[in-house]
Amino acid sequence: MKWITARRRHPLAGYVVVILALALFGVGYAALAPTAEEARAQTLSAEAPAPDDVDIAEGRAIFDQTCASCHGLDGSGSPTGPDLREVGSAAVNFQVSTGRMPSMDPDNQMPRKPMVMSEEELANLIAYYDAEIRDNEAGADVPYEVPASEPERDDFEDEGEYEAALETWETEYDAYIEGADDTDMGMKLYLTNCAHCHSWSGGGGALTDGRWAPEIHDASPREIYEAMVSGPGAMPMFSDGVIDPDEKQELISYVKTLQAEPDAGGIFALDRVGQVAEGFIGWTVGLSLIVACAIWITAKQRAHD
Amino acid sequence: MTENNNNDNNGAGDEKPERVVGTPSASADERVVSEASAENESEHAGPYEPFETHIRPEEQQRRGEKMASAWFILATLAGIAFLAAYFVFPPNAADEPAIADPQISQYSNMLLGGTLTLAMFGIGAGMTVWARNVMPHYEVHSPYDELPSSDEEKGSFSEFFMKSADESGFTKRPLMRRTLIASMIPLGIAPVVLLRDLGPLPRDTLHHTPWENGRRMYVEGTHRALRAEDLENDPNGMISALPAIDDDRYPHGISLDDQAKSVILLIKVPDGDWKEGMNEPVSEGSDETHMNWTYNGIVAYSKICTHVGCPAALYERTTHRILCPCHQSTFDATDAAKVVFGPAHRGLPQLPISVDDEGYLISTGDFAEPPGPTFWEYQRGGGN
Repeated sequence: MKWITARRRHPLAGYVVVILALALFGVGYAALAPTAEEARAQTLSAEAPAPDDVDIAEGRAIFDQTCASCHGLDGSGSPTGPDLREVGSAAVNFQVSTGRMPSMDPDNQMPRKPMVMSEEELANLIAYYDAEIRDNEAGADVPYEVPASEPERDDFEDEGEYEAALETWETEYDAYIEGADDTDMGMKLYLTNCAHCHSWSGGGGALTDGRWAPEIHDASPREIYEAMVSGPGAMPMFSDGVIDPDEKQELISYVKTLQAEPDAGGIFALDRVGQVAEGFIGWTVGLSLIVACAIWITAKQRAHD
Repeated sequence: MTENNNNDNNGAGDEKPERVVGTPSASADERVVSEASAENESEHAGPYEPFETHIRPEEQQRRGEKMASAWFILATLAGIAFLAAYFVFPPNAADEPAIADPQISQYSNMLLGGTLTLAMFGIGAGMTVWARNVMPHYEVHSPYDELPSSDEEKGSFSEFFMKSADESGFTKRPLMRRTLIASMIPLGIAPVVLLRDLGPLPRDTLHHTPWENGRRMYVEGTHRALRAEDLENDPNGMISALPAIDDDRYPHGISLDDQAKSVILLIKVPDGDWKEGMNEPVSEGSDETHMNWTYNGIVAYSKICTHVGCPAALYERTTHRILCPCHQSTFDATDAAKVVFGPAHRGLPQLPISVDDEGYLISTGDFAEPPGPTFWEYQRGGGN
């Protein structure tokens, strides 16, 4: 206290207070702001797995162990988990590959996380789901023709295998994104149907009752496609009838192209948080600087007062 | 910068021994000030009385000059850098607007803005330093004037005013006075006429949209007409749609005015989720209920918020709430889009829909009330 008392009338005290307040604001914001989950799902296969490659019995074991406690042994749901019989395998693939399922806390919305299962386990689970739980052909299938996330080195035993997989993935990814020739239409579809919740830049936004629309930058084209056809959480569905597969390709291509654009914020980039938030931050910081200048200019000249 | 002024005064005294000789050493602030003033008197030529003027000690002035010059040099360099930045990232290099490239415009914006800020701040900062360290410091007392005028002045003014009014004949000649007032009335009304010139009256255009019986609907952004089967099988589908119009005059087939009025949100609601409000008539005295205006679980609402006209399309399939992202007006899609929260004054107007022979979704008429922001008389006129 004595230390403060001795220095609080120091002519620089005003600036120190302003700087401390600014720092507190910035650090506080960084601490409170939701951090983007640095997670990547690792769906690799570009084609539907052949029946011989999957093990339905193992899929059943995975389902009974990790899913049945909430969704029931037959997938018919329970008070803690919805009925899965009509959601379709696209929903299963989306929820598991984005790490949202299995959920540790069924009462709350799950953020994106690294997938807990291996690719093989997920394929077995989907095979079991299709064979035993799904009602006929209800819901949407996994869109295997749409590229999934970039392969990761950890999933491969040797470097050569990984590089071959990476090359295949890159070819498919580029072909899918560049195969869209009417990004203008993709933009309109995105802005009129998606941007309200996921924001114009794909950064996500708030919904009611504490839910939120996640940011979609980490999502692979396949995950975006699956989210549209299955409608996870509070999101409505955009089936292939409403937005057909070609139009979805335009839309996804637009999202991915937008993401690849350089961020005009430069060193002051705010992760494309959106114009209103950018304006607010600019206003607060700018005003604080102006206040600091005002303090400096009008600081009392105590010697003669 | 300022806390050392007293010491500086002493220091200044030491620097000019010819003035200090014979004077007692400073023991109190006031005395220092008064002495300094007294000494300066002989060579003083400023606008204020010498005893009010405190010239800064020479050492402080020199320090201030250096500091201010440093700011001015910085401002000069920044100003030159501004010009350089303009030519390094020109607006029209290589025959194409380089500024259109986000990378270039990013550098350009940062450099132009940054250097200009620095140049202006440098000049301002330099001048502040100049004022606070080089210019003399004044201590001026000037008492406030009495604010109200004296009764005498007031009396003489009103007397003068009334005398003039009498003299001018304004009070004595009623005919002239009244005709003058009459001549001013039309001028008062003139602005109303001029305002009318701002454009044609809206008449009933706000009450009508291109939706009519049998009009198909396009998915917004495409030119593909929607079929009922595209939507009715999704348990929780949603899509923005526009009337299917292909007018060659407009690049998107429909004028922006019409687009702004007629855009709708098609929502497929699961069977058991409808609420009571759907069984109410769509407008007072109408035989049709909101439920009659849906087709197979598909309901169409205007997408334009009735508050100030933002597109309200933030739809949560779990709660069936439609939110407007601008001011959080919330509408219940299963309850005739009634307002459940927020500043909106009335629900989203519903569009009557059905299917035609080929299975395409169509409207069977126009909205029951004008879509978009509520305005005076929105319930009146227009008619359907």
